Amino acid sequence: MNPRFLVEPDSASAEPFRALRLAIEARIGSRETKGLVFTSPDPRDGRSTMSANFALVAAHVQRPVLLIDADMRNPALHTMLDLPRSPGLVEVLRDRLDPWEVTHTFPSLGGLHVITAGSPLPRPGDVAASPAMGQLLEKAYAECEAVVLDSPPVLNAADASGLASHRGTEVVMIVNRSGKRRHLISALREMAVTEANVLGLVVNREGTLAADRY
Amino acid sequence: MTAGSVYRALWRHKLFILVLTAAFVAAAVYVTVQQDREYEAAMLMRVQERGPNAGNASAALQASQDLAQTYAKIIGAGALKGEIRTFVAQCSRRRTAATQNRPGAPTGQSNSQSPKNATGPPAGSCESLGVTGNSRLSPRRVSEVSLSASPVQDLDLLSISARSKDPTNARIAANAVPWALRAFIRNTGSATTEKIITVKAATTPSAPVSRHLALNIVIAIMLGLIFNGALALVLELFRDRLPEPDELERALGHPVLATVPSLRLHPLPGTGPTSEEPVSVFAGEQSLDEERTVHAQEIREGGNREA
Repeated sequence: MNPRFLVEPDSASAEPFRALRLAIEARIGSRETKGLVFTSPDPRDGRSTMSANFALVAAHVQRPVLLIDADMRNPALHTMLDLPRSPGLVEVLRDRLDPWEVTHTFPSLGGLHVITAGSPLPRPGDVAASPAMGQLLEKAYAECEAVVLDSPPVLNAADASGLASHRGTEVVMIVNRSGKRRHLISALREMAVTEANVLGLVVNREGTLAADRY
Repeated sequence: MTAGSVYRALWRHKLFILVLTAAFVAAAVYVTVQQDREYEAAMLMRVQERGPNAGNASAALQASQDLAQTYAKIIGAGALKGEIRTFVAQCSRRRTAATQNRPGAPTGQSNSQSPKNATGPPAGSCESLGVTGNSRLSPRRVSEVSLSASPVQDLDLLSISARSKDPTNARIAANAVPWALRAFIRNTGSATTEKIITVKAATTPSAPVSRHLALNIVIAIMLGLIFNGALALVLELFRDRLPEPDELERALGHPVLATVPSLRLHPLPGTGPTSEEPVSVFAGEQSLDEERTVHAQEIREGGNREA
């Protein structure tokens, strides 16, 4: 495993993700939301790092947690976690495989389950909102406490909106601190147009870690 | 823009402000060093009122002080430059006449350029002021000399200073002020009940006056901070920047769930290169062709498997 992208669960670096988990839990309340689509307005805003670390921290509390690399255009989780790209999500959807057949489980990471993106697709934009994806998510929601989906940036692809159109799925918008305001507004407008429920924003790269010495 | 956001904007642009202010200081130092050196000659003259208060010493002193203040304003306004120019011109003509050894050369008793100025420089004044010989102060260059005057407190004295790039010119101009002031009073038709006496003549300054380098640096720092701070705020206004996290919710209508700082990501114990491999239910031998792709349409229609 490439450890560079994951926080040490017992370190201060994990605290923001614990706070995020609690905030999401509070925002969800009594709703039956289990799917969290991590997206952002632009590329390189830190979606994969955020989603992987959130899933890692959540896996230590909520079991089981499934992390799906739903960015079939430019997947990153398999690189971060040192896993083969395929078989993965595409194979599950295309070949009707049982999701657990392509799931990688990390006992040392709180039992975190990971599905990588899978083989490249010519038009991945049509997949996110497809019934097959819906069926996969239904199955995952039935068997997991939380499902974290790493999706492409909103302004580059409609995948996040498509994923959020499935029942029990909501959006967490990652915002890079140095990002542009109008991009975020455009992304949120697109979410509103597709009636995707945005749980809230996560501001990434905001200052330095204050609790490091605590 | 609130005070807090102004502070944050300035703090964000601190490097920009500091670098540009340093550039301001460097420019101020360069300009100051490049400036021509100026010499200052100072003389002291007494202004005495000889009018109806002559018998009352206190009243006469008060009147003289008032006169000194008035003259200081006149000198400071540059009103004497014409008279000084005339003075220098007459002295130059005397010098020319003396050089040509012509009998009947002007002796200061007539002035064709200024009919009102019936009296030129007194005999010997040009020589005493050093206008003759190799003097470089021509009438045309009088304008390069800057004059200033200030009354001496509680006394009927007036301190005159003349600044020029040439020390001799500064001395000549300073010493010409009493004569020029008398000529000015005559030319304006004022009553001449006062007496103007040179108390201490100016000498040729041996060193240039200070260039005020430290003062210029302080001014450059202050102006630089103000100007560059304002520039940073203007840039901030036109920058398409995200609001602060505490303002995001109000600005965009969505809550901020968390702020994640720049992370210090540590190696995870038990997950390094020597750690156990992730457990995968999937056996890698299954016959899935990684090169094979499927049209999304097939997935939308229910994920029909290829034959």
